[in-house]
Amino acid sequence: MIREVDVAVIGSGPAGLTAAIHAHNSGARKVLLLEREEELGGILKQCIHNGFGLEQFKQDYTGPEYAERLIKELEKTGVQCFLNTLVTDLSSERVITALSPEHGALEIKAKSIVLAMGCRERTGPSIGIPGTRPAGIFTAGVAQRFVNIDGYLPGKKVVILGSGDIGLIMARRLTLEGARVIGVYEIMNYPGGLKRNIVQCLNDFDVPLHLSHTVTEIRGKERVGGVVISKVDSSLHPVQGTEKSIECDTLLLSVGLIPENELSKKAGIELSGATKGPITTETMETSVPGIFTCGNVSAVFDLVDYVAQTGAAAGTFAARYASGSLSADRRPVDIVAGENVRLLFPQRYGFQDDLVLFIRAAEPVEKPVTIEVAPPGSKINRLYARPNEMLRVKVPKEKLAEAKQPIKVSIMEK
Amino acid sequence: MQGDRALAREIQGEIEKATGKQVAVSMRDGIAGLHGHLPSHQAALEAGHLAGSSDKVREVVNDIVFPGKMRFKTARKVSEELTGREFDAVIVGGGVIGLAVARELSQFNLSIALLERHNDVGMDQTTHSNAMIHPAIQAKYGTLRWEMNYKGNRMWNEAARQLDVDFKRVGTLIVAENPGEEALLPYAVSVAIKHNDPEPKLLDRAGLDRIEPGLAPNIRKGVLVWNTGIIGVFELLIAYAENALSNGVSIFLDTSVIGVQTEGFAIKAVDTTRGTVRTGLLINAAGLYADRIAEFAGDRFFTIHPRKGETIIFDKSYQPVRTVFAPVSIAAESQETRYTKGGGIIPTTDGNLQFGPTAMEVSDREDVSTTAEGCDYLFDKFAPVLERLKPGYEKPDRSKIIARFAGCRAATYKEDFIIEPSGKVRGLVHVAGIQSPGLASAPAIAERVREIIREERHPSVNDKFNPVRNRQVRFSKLGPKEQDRFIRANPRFGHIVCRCENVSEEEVVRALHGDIPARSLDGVKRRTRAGQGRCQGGFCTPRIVEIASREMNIGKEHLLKSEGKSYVLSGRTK
Amino acid sequence: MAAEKKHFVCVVCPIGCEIDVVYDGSEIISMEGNKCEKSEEFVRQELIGPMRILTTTVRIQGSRLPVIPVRTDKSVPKRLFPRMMKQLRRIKLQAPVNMLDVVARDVLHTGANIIATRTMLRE
Ligand SMILES: Cc1cc2nc3c(=O)[nH]c(=O)nc-3n(C[C@H](O)[C@H](O)[C@H](O)COP(=O)(O)OP(=O)(O)OC[C@H]3O[C@@H](n4cnc5c(N)ncnc54)[C@H](O)[C@@H]3O)c2cc1C
Ligand SMILES: Cc1cc2nc3c(=O)[nH]c(=O)nc-3n(C[C@H](O)[C@H](O)[C@H](O)COP(=O)(O)OP(=O)(O)OC[C@H]3O[C@@H](n4cnc5c(N)ncnc54)[C@H](O)[C@@H]3O)c2cc1C
Ligand code: SF4
Repeated sequence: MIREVDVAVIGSGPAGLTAAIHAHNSGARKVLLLEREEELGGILKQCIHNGFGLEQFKQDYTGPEYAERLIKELEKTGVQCFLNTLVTDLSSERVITALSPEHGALEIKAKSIVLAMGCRERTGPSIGIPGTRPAGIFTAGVAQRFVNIDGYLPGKKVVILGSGDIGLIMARRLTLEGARVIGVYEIMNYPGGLKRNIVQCLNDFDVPLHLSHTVTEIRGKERVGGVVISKVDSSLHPVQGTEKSIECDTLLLSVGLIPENELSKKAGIELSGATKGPITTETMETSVPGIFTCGNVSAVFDLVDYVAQTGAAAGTFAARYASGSLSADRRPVDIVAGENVRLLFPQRYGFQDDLVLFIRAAEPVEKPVTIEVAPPGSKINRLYARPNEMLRVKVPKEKLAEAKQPIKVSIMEK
Repeated sequence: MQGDRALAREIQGEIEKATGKQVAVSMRDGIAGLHGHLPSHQAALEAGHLAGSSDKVREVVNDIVFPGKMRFKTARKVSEELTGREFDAVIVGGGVIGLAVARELSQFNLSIALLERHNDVGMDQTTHSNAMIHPAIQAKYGTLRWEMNYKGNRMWNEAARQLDVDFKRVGTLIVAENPGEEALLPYAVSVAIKHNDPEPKLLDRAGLDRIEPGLAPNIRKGVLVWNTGIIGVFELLIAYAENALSNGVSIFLDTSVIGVQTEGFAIKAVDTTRGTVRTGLLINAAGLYADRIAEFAGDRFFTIHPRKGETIIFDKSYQPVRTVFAPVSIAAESQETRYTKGGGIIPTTDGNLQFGPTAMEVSDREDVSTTAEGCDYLFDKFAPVLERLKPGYEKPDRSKIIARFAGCRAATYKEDFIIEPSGKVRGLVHVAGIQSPGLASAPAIAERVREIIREERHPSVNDKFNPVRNRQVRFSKLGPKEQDRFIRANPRFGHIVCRCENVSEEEVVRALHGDIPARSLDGVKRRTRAGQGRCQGGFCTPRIVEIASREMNIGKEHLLKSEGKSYVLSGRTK
Repeated sequence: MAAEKKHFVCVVCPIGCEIDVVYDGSEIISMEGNKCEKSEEFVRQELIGPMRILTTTVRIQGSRLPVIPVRTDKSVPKRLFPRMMKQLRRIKLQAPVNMLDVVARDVLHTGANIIATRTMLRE
């Protein structure tokens, strides 16, 4: 049996929840939220630390509090939710295939779709480490789930590879729970995570951070028995003679996140090489008409507030698309990266709304910068630009009405 | 006798010439024994190979001591639960060979036990192989390895059908890159025919395009050795085991043989970590430890020297070839794998491309560690080949590597298979030195062992023998209608625990309760493929831990990744 | 007492200014590197004794999951974390628990309560 809905939202993290709420509030009658887990909330359920929602709610929430607040809002709308429902296929004609114990093999035809599948953790570098593959190797997010949701400790003597935020947060969490975190080893010469996390998660607990270091061997037959650490040179190659062996029973990897776009690929959605997410306009519409995207499936955002913001836009415009009230003539112009810009979101502008740009710098600049968006030639000042903290700027719709050629975005020292 | 002494002296001289050191050499019944000290593992290996290279030497026992030489550890007895049991035949080793032999012998009216030291089947050589069914073209003509290879290769269509295992004859495609190489192709055809492979196909460009589209324009001719196959190797192990079980064989996992009792040069009983089993017939299919079992039985006449092979595996999104792909330059080199590092470009039945295996002599038979050199060697050797010969396809990229693994081959110094009744001990049959292409040869090896037993024991035929086995349903392979039907009948099919490979909870549950049940996370992974996709267990690990602890009725802290002390979690937080 | 120098990273906002502070006891003599005044209060507190929110879990019975996330409802001295963790280990809640329910009052006489950060129903 084929079900028909106005707006289908895939994924119930902060992005999907916000999108579903906004789709409903924008007048979509039949909104369906699909989530593969047993509960709504996405990854926030396991992020039990605080620091969420400072911007959006002016509150210092923990992840679960932030999620519950959105869930309560959603409950008021009466949007239908299918839990334990994994979307396995998606077509460019907006037909969703999903599996669920309760609903069986589902086919859903939606007038518009919002992708909100979030991201997954990278494992690549761990595969590259020579040695054995004993028990005791986890990505930081899996360890986080074991500790915070299941109440189990992954190990007692821990080495963390990579200084991504989840790894930093887990250094603190594991220390609090009685494990010994020997150190965090980062291959780059700057940390991957936010400064405040270095302070509050490492410095606060005397966990050392070693920059320009990596794990070059894993030892142990059954359970991890130790790792070998080496310094790396400027081209990130291990330096011979700097090997140090460290005894531990656990290796955590915190080496980055990657948008979860298997479904997007199936629908033939054009992806950006820079963000690894769909190429999107300011309405969050992808290259396939009627399919919208938001949150970390689009690009890995630093703050949940940004995620929610994209969710709101995606939900609103998906509802408008479903009701046919989104202007059919929306030939977008490209937005391209200029000086010192590593990635941009969105990558196109379709003349429907103000342009809210998320920008990641290529190189750190620790002094005031000017962000130029041309056309229209807007200049916006910021105090600094750092690769690990996204910049957000807004250019009003009126100013962009005349933009006929690609819009170029650059970061320049002031 | 005189001849023996002269031969021993000759070998001694050669070893001295090569290593600059003297070792003691004895010769008896064609068996060379090497004793003494050498300064390195390398030198000890060379001595063994020098002795083995003489036509007059049947096998080599290499007792040369070198720094870092590993000692055997004998497992400790944990119980007596098997003591008092008696079987007509006992097979040591639950790799593909032991299991194939078990199934084959279940055609007779014999009570059979198979003993395997690991908690799962095939954990030494077989699961670390490349799952390729080799053509005989590469095997040394006239050897037992060659004979088993060509005979075995032909048997797979029927065996795979009976056992319900993925098997596909993808062929080895040898392509010529220039006129000089084109001239060599008829030679390849004649070598294949000489080695008893079915006649390969000489292909022109149109023919090549049908088999392997998108080749570089300079490639105009090639040869398809079409009988090369690929097989689902873990499914095969389970299939052999299940079929053997259903025909009456008893399989004991976690059971290590630690001694053999003989009486008047005849097999009497087998000592294991779980007690002593009486039997008059012992089949030694112990792979890397076959020499150890032979020693236990008092018939040590060969030494296994482990040769490690590393493999790298790519994500399913990178499938540049359909065939085992070998330009002439590589095909020519792999004629003799002992002295090259070897390897090839080999697809798998699951759709993951492999580069491998390397060949590296090691001193530890348990060494399954991967190395930076091994990975670099494979990538740097084969990636440029694909880039050059399949230019239209996506460039090979290290970031697409999703796994690396290594395993040791159980080679003897004659580098041939040993499949024979013991010359010394009645009731002992050796199936040893079964290195590559042991998997390809498995059905033929099993048949040969069956004939040995038939001749020696004249057992009656079991007319209830059923060679057919059916596999568990693979939910992801079903169509939507069928999937819906399965979920309605059992909602656990609708709960997908591995989103990369679309594995359902029910499949995990069945893997945990099968005839050869999974006892660890890796066991579940091998049976269901959960965790073998691109996220490498990131999503499914917590879910499988949950299901496994529930189904096995143990706390999560007792769950193992593999065996021994491989605990996944260290305990509750509070 | 002579003036001393210390380096701080302000965590009041995401900018994370690196601040060099000259101080005497708990009195700030000079600050350099801060982009705004909000840091002053933060630095003063760091000098007296750092205060943080503690987030962790406690056991729960009768719900689908075995632990429930909790936090202190205001900042508490960081040095008390180990003792608080120990104390929280002894708590075992019964489902249902609502978000913001108080789980423990005035822990270690800090005046802070421990509150649940999510709802967990009975199952
Ligand atoms: C392990 C981890 C820890 C993190 N920790 C933090 C943190 O501490 N602070 C922070 O600010 N950010 C953190 N992040 C980033 C975090 O992803 C975002 O802050 C935010 O949760 C992203 O929201 P989202 O809605 O885009 O994605 P998510 O919260 O990841 O939600 C995606 C949802 O989609 C569902 N889904 C995916 N695919 C399918 C499918 N095919 N069918 C059905 N449902 C599907 C998932 O189950 C999930 O519920 C973390 C990310 C990860 C992976
Ligand atoms: C890297 C690599 C790649 C290969 N690729 C291919 C290929 O593509 N095609 C091919 O045809 N061949 C290949 N081979 C060779 C092939 O894997 C072997 O020939 C084949 O698996 C041998 O099977 P086996 O049962 O003899 O050995 P094993 O699989 O090693 O089984 C022997 C079993 O005996 C058990 N055992 C040992 N001692 C004891 C004891 N004391 N008590 C109880 N049990 C014991 C072991 O635990 C083990 O499970 C490859 C080998 C390697 C290493
Ligand atoms: S000093 Fe002000 S601007 Fe700088 S980090 Fe602290 S609060 Fe932010």
